[in-house]
Amino acid sequence: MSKLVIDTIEGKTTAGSVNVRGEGSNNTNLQQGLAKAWAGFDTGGNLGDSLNISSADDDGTGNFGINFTNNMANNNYSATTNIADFTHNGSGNNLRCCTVGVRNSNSVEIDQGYTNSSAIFIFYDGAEMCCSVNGDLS
Amino acid sequence: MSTIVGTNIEVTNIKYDSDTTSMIISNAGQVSVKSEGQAITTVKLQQGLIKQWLYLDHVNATIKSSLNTSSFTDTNNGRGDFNLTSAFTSVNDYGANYTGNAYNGNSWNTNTANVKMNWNSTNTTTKYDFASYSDGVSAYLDSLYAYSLAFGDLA
Repeated sequence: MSKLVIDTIEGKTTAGSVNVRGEGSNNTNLQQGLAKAWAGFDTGGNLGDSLNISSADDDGTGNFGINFTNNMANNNYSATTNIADFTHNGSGNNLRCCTVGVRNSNSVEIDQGYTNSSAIFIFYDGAEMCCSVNGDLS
Repeated sequence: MSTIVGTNIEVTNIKYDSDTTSMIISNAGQVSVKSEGQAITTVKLQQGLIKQWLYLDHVNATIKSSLNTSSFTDTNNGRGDFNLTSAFTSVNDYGANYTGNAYNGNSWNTNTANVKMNWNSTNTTTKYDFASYSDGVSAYLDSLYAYSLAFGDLA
């Protein structure tokens, strides 16, 4: 048999768990290895390309959020974020930061800003950012 | 044909219909899938999978959830190692990304974090290191919310 014509593959023991052979001899898990949501968006809350994202929010200066189409199982998921390089005019104001804030099962908050010369964090609309979410879907 | 229930299916192509191939399985067990735009038929499924991820509460030294993570070693303030269950092929065959908020109370001034990966140059096929640094207090600090992921070639 060389062809299998199907719509859905699911695990036999657990429907939502399929093991896949990795590049070598170790196995990894298909569902656990898939990013459950990702997005690129700008500081105006304008969503670029994305997966499982219904919308992006501009919640104020340096405060943003992305909302999931399909919710995560809980808020114990992993979310990583990065920011495009930006500059801020001001002496010593060059330490930039983009971090994950509150995580909910249906959304995640992302904050960005810079640390000024007095080591005070200032919320700031810096540049486009991206986020990737890994964990268990509901 | 609507359902196949079994342990082993030996197959080369998985198709929606006779004209539409969704996946191709090589003799090494590697799976190629069709791209979203359908122009590329050789997107590598295994290469696209995240091989390790976790959510770490570094302040309380607790892994909240994870994949392919056996433990983490708290090496110093704001610094540590993530230890993997299944190894990567070599130290040159994987990448990692880390996000943390160096935590010193509920204040943005002290929660900002600059992060580093492989800062101590001690990465191995089953371990990579990380660091969180707070500009607010000019010190390495544990992150209450730390997230990390790694991708590449499993051994």
